[in-house]
Amino acid sequence: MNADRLLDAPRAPLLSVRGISCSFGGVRAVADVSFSAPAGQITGLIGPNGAGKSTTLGIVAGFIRPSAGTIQFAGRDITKLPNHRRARLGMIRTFQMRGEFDRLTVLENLLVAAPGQRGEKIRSIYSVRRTWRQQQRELVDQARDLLDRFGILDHENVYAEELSGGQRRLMELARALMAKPRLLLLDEPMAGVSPAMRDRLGAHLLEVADSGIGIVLVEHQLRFVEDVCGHVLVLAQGTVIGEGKMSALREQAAVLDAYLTG
Amino acid sequence: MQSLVLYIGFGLVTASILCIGAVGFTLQFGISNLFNLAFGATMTAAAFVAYVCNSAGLNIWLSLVLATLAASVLSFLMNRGIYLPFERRATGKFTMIMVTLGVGIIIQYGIEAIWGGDNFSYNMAAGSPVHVASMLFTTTQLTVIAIAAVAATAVHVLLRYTRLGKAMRAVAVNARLARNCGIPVKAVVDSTWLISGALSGLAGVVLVIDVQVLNSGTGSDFFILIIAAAVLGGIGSASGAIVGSIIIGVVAEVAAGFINPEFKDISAFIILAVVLLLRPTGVISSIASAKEVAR
Amino acid sequence: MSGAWQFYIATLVIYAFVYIIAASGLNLQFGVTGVYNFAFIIFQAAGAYCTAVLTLGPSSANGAFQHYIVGLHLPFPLPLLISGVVAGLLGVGLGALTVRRLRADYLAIVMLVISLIATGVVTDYQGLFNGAAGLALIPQPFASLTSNLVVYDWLYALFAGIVCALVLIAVRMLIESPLGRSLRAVRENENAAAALGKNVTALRLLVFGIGGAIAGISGSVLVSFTQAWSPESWLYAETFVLFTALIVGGVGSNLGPLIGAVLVPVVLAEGSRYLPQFGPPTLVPSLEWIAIGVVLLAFLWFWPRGILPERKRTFPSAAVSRPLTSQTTGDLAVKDLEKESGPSR
Repeated sequence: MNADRLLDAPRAPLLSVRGISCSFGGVRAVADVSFSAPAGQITGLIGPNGAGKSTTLGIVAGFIRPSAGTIQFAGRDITKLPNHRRARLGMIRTFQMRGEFDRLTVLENLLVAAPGQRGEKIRSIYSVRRTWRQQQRELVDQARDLLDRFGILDHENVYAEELSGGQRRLMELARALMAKPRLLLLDEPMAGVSPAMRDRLGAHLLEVADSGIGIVLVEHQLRFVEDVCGHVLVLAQGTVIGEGKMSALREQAAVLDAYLTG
Repeated sequence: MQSLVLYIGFGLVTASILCIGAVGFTLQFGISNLFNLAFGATMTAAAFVAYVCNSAGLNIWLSLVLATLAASVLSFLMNRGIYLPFERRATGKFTMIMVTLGVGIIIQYGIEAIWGGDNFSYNMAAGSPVHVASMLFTTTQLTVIAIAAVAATAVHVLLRYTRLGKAMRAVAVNARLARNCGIPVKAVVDSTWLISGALSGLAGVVLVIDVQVLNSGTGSDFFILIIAAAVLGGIGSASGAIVGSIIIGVVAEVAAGFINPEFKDISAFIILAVVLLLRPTGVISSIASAKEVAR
Repeated sequence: MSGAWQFYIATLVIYAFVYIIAASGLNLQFGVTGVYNFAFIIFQAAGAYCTAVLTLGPSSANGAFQHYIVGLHLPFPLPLLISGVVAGLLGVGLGALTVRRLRADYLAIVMLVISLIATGVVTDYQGLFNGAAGLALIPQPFASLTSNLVVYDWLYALFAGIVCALVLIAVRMLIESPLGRSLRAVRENENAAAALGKNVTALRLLVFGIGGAIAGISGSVLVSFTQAWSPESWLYAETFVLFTALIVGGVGSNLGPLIGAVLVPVVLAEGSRYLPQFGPPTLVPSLEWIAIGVVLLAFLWFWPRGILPERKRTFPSAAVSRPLTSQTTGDLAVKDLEKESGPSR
């Protein structure tokens, strides 16, 4: 499993983040962070705890307001765009913790994600022809496909709150894909997932990237990052202290220091 | 101008009663992160305890002490017996409000079931009028203001200078951290409910002493103003509650005097609603912000 | 059955329908979307007042013994429809105030205060809706159909039942649709919903509007029957009773509001009528309130999801949902409706 080949093809930056900063109560959580995430590539974001990785994702996705900086996505300046509009443009994020809809079944979780559902329009709900039902049947099939690929089809009618930790991550990933993303922002998607499934998912993520979707991946499991990510950024105490290929970063003193002390 | 000062004088009396209640209410929020909507009912309960003692022949001020103790115990039991068990089940914030409302209704209508819907009053000497500057008070009202001043000072001293008080503030800001620092959180919570419960009882009796009428809805009617004062001042902050009480008390009376007596309550609510929408964390917002009541 | 009994039963039935309509509206807001509208009762009041001042003639007539705005003397069903729209718009307006993100219980207090302000304003501004005395002698709709009072009551009960059925059906269609699913997603986790493209604010405003309209309709139906309406009819405690009804009946489900509305306001309030009247006149009502408080706490502790909780949605199995030929799609459409009995894995 090697991501080198993806770097050969030139891609326009799908996501371009310039100089974003933000503070919480006087503490600089993110300071002047800049990076690009091209389409068709998997960009890794690593660093010790508290480095600002999730905060960065939160800023990019529109859940945290930065005090400075700009964000360009698919050629648009989305710095001021509300988070749900960014999602509509195809930027889909997952959450490090508690991203599920607890009292919805696994299948329903995925169905929520599908964009452009006719049944979400009042006009369609009360129209005589009820075409939304046919569309929903198709979405159910798509969702089942995804659940099968992630190995949790058996749990389609289980409430999300009853899933184990690893199963939740799988469901959230499947759900993110159901949303027809152009860019995936994944926050520790492999936490609690078994090694076997992790490998399968890594391969799946590479397929997803191959199809033209960009991925930004926050992860702690460095082997996984090395296997899957073409380009990696290291964050420590809110700033980028290194970037490049994982193998090179392993040698850099600054990176080692950050992991030992941070 | 003279009438303005006169109304401000009335406002100080209202503010005093509000202050006692608001500090109690806000302490409960600070320590348990919960809006105890049964607070008004405990005020009424205390007022009725005082009534019972008073009718049995006891002096009103002595009855006040007994009633305060009763309210203290009642509040402590409410927290231990009902609120804590629900909270241990990770009950959501809104559901907890329903729980407190349920408790309040049971207490209020329990009182009404026993004493009916009639009005009562205390057996006490009418105070003689006193002029202070251009303001007109009765000796009773001055006593009420004095009680409020003493109570507020006592709470201030408690919070700022005693170990218990500092522990209470620590738990209010971050209970988990306080526990990790070795603070006996359970005991601190119990103490806070005893103290704030006493304040609710004190407020209830003092209210009836001032307005001279008591029925099963007395505490609940006044309680809304207490909420307004506590929230305006910054929920969770005792000094904020004092500030809020003065503002609400004075504004309410001035509005009643200048515009319309019926506007007393509405003016307070409108201030509250505006504050909640513009600056929900209130004047002194430290604890309200820590508890993230508004994002 | 004697006329008095018939009148009593018919009245009870009408009240039940009104409560069911109101509970459905609140269920849409609270049960399905997780919106804590503690000022709910003012929307019922808005609908009632709106119908009243539209059905009544100009206030200057009849010696001007009551003062109120408007007074258009519109014929049925215009007041009902307009009341729904007005209450709905009011709902959206109130919802807009709550866009500022307040914690759930904090928000409840804001709503409570707004409810009190509304009561205060209506009571103090006599010219609006005749203040504390309220409005009376509101004309009843389709009264020309019969002069027999008992027959009219049953006719009205039928009318109320039809409105109730329509509301229940409309709400059910909404809840079972993908839009309903998005509302539940907002309830469960609004951040995750936003991350999937749902406009949480717009969805909340939508249910404020629809729920408000439904509350307004319930008020309209009630006031056209009772012919009177005053601030006494919509104290903030009524909102509390409706929330209790939902918690008892079942939060979020389609029939939960029905059960809750029948059990809590109707049985609890009217059932006590059959107990022998003992003690002073305030005793039995006080006991009713105590009973509501105890029932609420008991349910919150033992059965927090209520008698008929929100049921799990399952979907027909793959073999069924893939259409085989165009001829069989008709059958499949019917099978889709039977998803309650779909196979669960």
